[in-house]
Amino acid sequence: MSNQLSIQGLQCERGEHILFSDLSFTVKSGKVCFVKGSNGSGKTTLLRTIAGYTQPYAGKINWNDQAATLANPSYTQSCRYVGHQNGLKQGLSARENLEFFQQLYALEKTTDNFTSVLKKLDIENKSQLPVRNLSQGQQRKVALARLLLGSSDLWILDEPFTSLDQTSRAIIEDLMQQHLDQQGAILLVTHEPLMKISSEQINVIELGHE
Amino acid sequence: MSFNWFKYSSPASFYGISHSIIKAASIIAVILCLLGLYWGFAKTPNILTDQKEYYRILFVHVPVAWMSMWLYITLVFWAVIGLIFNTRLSYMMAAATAPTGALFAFLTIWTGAFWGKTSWGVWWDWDPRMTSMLILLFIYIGYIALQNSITDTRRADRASALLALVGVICIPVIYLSINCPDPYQCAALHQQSSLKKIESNILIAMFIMLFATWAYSFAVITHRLRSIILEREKRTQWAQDISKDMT
Amino acid sequence: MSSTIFPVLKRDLLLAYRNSTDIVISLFFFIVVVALIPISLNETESTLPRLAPGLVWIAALLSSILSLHRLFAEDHADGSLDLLLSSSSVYQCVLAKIAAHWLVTGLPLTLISPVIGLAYNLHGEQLSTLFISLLVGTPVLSCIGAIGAAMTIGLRSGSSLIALIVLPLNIPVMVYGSAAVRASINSPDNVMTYLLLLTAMLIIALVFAPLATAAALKISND
Repeated sequence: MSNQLSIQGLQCERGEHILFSDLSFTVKSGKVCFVKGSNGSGKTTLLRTIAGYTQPYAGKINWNDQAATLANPSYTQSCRYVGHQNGLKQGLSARENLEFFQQLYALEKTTDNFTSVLKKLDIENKSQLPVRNLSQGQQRKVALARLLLGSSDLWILDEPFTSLDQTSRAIIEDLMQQHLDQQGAILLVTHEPLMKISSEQINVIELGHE
Repeated sequence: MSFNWFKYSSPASFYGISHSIIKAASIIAVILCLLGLYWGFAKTPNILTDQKEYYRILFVHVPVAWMSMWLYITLVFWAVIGLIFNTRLSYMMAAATAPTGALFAFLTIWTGAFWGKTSWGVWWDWDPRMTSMLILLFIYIGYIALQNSITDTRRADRASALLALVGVICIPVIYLSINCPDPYQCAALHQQSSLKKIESNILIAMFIMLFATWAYSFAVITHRLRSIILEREKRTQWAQDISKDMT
Repeated sequence: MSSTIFPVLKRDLLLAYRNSTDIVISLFFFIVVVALIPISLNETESTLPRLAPGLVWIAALLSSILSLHRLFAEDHADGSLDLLLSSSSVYQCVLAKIAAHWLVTGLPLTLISPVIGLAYNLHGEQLSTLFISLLVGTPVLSCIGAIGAAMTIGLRSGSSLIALIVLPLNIPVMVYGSAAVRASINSPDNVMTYLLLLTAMLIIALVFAPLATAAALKISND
């Protein structure tokens, strides 16, 4: 199964200020689209626009020839967005947070799904604690654990490696590699270079060239 | 033959024609206001049923009251156009309309208080119409406050447009609840419209003043709109050219 | 398509349960306001019932507004609003959040209202009318309040701005809610009319308020 996200002539603004215009690219199955650019060049806005939260001023975003908006369930079901904020409830445990996500999106349930996901990310022993008692890096990993629940085709990741140590980073990159091997696609913003993923699988998009 | 319907919906082209609109509307407003006041003071009787000279406050009171309601309707109209077509100018129109509408609602209450003191003996009398006008003023203030509290202009525009829309849906219910707190006695609470009984000269003066306030609103709102356009489009070339010409 | 009401409701109630001071604070706010007024007015037993309808309803309105600013602000701050907005039904999510808000603020004060009514020298059917009017009316306060809360997410002056926006829109609920209780004192035959009017408002609010709130959330989360 091959999926494609295509962006055509995209223009985004923030407070009357044009961040970028006439931006076109495609994200294909099995590829990482690596968005680069200096601070304030509109990377987060681009990701939020593609995830459907922000309205573009001009241009089209299509997921398999259908408009990629929040009103399109086949897009929202296959897309996973992990932004700057973790989207976790501090008063709930890691497990409860994931359970909520699974129910909200009606993802298919498998036995000890959470345990295996949390084990992969090496936070299983903390899964019963309220998230507020976890470290920043551990909270980030719980947020990233959502990527592994159910099946998803497109990951939209905004600075996924924030506050992660080297080991955890490697784990996440391994997971990204597995996702690519299963014909998944990734749209990524990060300041750090990717260590493990081969450069043939990476397309670089540069923002802020004017 | 093709005509570009959206030509004047672009801020730049609107700015070009706005100056002459403001000039014409201001002149009309001044002339009509002088004419209306003259008519109101010279051509009308000194006594209206049991009220003395002070009934003449209605030449200001009634036009501003009608205008404050009419301006809310136009505000909602522009807000809805903005939400549907996402045209920036519509939002700016709505934003430019609100302060004048709020001012008129305030003036209605103020002049009404004076009139009430002279004819009823009290400044304020929780009468349904007065209360409704007060609520309209609150809704205007809420709109302006929301618009000004949000720094991101696009969010400010859309959120306040939505509030205006919610307000217009709620207004009939609010009006009903204020007018008929007791549905069994509702009919008794209605004030009869007194328009038909009024002498024609009073009506003429009132309507001249109505058109004067309308022309005034047109001029002031267009002027405010010009300022909003310049402020928001300050990064564009044409706005910078105009700013240079002005200094 | 499965329902998103249940998970959101469950989550919000669980959070409220774990942080139960929130519930207690808004309930005690209500009680304190209702208790302070007779003290300050120095009213006698005979005039208290006349004041009760208006006062209890104003206290309920203020207590509902007091907790509104947290309704969506926390979800916005921690990023979980994104999750709600890309779920299969934002309408249902909003409805669930409104329901949770009511269960945490409106319902407790409704449950305690007969006791308040006794303190105001109401009795018999007057107490049950007070209870039913609050039971039907306070969800409307939560519905309308949610619109204001969604519009003011993340604003510095958020909580006071919500009050400014929401209070005028709540006038009809207050007028008919207190009129129902007043009718139970003066003309018991008319009580049903007011309760039906309140019910009509509740139905309309349940249909339209989540729509407006969802639209406002999308605008605010832009």
